[in-house]
Amino acid sequence: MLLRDMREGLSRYKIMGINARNRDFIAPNNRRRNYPLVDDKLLTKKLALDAGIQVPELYGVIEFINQAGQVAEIAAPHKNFVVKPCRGSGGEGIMVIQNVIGTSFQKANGELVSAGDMQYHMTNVLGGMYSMSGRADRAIIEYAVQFDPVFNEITYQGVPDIRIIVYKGVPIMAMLRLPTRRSDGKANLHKGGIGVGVRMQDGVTMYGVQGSSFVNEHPETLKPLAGRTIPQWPFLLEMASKFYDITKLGYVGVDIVLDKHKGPMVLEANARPGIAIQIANRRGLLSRTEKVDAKGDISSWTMADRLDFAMSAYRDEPGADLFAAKV
Amino acid sequence: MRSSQVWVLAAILALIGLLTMLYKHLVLEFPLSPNTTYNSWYVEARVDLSSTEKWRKGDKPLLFSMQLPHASDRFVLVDENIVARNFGYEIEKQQGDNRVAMFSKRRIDNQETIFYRAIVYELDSPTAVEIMAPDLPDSPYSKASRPPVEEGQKEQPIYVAVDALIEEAREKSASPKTFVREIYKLARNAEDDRIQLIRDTVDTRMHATDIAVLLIEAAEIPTRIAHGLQLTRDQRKGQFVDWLEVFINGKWQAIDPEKYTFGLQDKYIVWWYGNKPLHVLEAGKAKVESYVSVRQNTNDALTRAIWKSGQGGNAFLTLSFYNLPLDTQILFKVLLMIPVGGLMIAFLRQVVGVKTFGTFMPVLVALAFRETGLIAGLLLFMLVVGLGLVIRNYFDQLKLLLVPRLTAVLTVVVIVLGLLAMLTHQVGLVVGLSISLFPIVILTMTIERMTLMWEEYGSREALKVGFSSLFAAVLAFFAMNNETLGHLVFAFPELLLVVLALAMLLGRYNHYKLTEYVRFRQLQRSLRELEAREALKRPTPPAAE
Repeated sequence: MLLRDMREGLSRYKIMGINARNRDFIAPNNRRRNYPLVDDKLLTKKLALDAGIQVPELYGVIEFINQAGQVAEIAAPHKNFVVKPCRGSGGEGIMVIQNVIGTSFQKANGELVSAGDMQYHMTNVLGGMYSMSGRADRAIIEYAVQFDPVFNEITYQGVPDIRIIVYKGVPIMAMLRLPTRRSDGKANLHKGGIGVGVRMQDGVTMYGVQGSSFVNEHPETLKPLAGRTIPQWPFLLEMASKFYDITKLGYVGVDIVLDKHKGPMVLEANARPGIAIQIANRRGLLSRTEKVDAKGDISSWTMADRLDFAMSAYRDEPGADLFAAKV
Repeated sequence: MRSSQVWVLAAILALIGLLTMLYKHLVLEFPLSPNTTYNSWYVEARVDLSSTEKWRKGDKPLLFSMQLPHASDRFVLVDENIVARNFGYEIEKQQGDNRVAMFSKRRIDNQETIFYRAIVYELDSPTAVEIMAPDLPDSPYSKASRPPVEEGQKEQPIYVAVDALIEEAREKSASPKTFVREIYKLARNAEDDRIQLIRDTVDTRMHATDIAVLLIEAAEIPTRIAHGLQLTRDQRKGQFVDWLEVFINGKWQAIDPEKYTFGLQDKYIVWWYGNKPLHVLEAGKAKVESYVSVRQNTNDALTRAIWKSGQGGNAFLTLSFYNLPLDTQILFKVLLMIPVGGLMIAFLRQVVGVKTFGTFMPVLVALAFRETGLIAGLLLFMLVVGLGLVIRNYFDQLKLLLVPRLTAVLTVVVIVLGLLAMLTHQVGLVVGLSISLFPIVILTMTIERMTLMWEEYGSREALKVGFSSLFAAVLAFFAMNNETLGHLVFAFPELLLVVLALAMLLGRYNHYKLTEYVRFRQLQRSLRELEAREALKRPTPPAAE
């Protein structure tokens, strides 16, 4: 059976493999010297703010070991906040704090973190335990997103976010990422979060995937994943597309969250976005990039051109008509 | 553009490599496969001399001697050669059939190195060698050579002890063989008062074998201590083996000190007889150190051709690893296999999609496996990493800073390896020394990475990657331990150009990894279904008019 599938091949369905992603998309489109713009989250924040893109408010930065105990001090005016390594990857080392109880911190899942544990976590972050290439890092303390209740029905403890892949400035594929019990409040797919494919023309959710298996309902809330509309969809696409302009990364994944009060904001961007998004969308990425490449040189496109293309080019893909937005 | 460049460059590199190899094989007759019957060996003795103090006028010139190996009815010395730049030397016959090379030099300033190399052939059937009957031993303890006991005086205690021991052995024995055996048994009993007396009187450093020699000679049976090397495997720093031979029934017979049996010695090549060391500094001042190494000669014909051609021969012969000193050769035999292991890992990661902790960790672990053996290595690896994980977990509770914690884990790994070496030594296993070659830093990093993965992604993922790392290491081990491959790369180092070409091609590989066929299998199926559904929806094309 597997042999038959292998003979048919994945290229027939224009599925992108890791090797092709690295060699044909990341290497030619993402200049190495632009990587720090997205790998360093403080830098990303600054760039986004300059370009008028909303990001979670920065409360403070911890740079030296002797500041490791200052988390409570920095976070004092704010009940909830997020601690994350500045150069972390894959959601590692991120701690979402919901409440400060005495000297302890309460995580999103209710677990208590003592002041000592927090200080230890800080020293690990600063020591570079979570940073790419293992070099010394800084810790960011920032606003914890109060997520929009729109996805309450299909979220378990944590913040759902929307990953949009932008190719040469054009958003080509998107996925709603939902935290589960297994993913410990994080939305990352490889940690057990759920990925839900999103229809490009209108932001309606489609198929779900958890790990490597297809799912139709959220495993904790048991509510269907499909047919939900992501609010302000065109605006989200525009935010993602702007990231191409500020980072000049030709193949980039942009992670956006919806805040209850402040609206959409960009959490981070990724110069090496994963390829599991194809499973959630039941669509090979190569079929999407091909359509962009077919347009030839698109460097002169305006934002309107790009959004127009993103919301119309993939309208007639097989299966896109299977889903209807719930009213 | 970039792609074609890589292809052209890779093709050129591979072509150069393969053509050179072909030339060496066809014209210079380098064999493509190693000899399967190892009856030929390189042996090499290397002597390092360094001055201990500044040379002054009037100092004596340097003179030192080194023992050279013996041919025997079993081993033939085919090609001997001494490399001793700036030294004068001559080979002398000395007592006990020993061949000794005497080296001399006016002064020694820095470091000098002398090589003795030979190819030794082991004959399938021993040839008859004429045996000269040795002279009777001239022992100061034999009855004949003792000073006569003066009237009224007692015999000296040492003679009494020697006589008593000889008498006891005679009583228990019926033949010269059994006599020697009994003497040997007695000599090995260090508790015996008489043995202690002999040792205290003659030399407190005497071993049981030395005492046995003293007693056997006192009984006027010719005997000698032999020093030799075992030719069974490659040794970078070889150890001499010592044994005792006795002349009985017209033959020199070696005593097996374990089983007390006699036989013709055919396991070892004899280097020299007697109780002198390998080298002696006869005059002058210098620090002398010597090493012997042994390597299987996989290319009898080839190496002989190379050595005979000497300088000014074909450039391919001159620029060959076979002209390096033996211990360097053994080192390069290992080094040359590392790119092969690396290529294997690149293939596993790019084409198959095996995940490993650290890029080249499996290659280094595979190198360690070469020393420990596969099964012992695997067990060791799992034991050390397993213990390390437990201890790393405990350190985590102590809340140590990252780098000091790594150091602590590193220290624990070394301690664990040390304890294992001691334990296995106690049990009598010989993995002891090879343990030390385990890549300690790599093990530490593996422990750290595995702990992180365990915390972040759960035990299943961590164990999965851990075992696939081991799997990659085992594959790399088989690639790097393959005899034919090892021979090919060593005899034809130009094959590394082919490895380079393959690595470059792998670097341009943009097709799917094998694991991705599994990962995207469900996606592939649903895309197939969607496609089928689409085909049904489409109206049938109108018939041609």
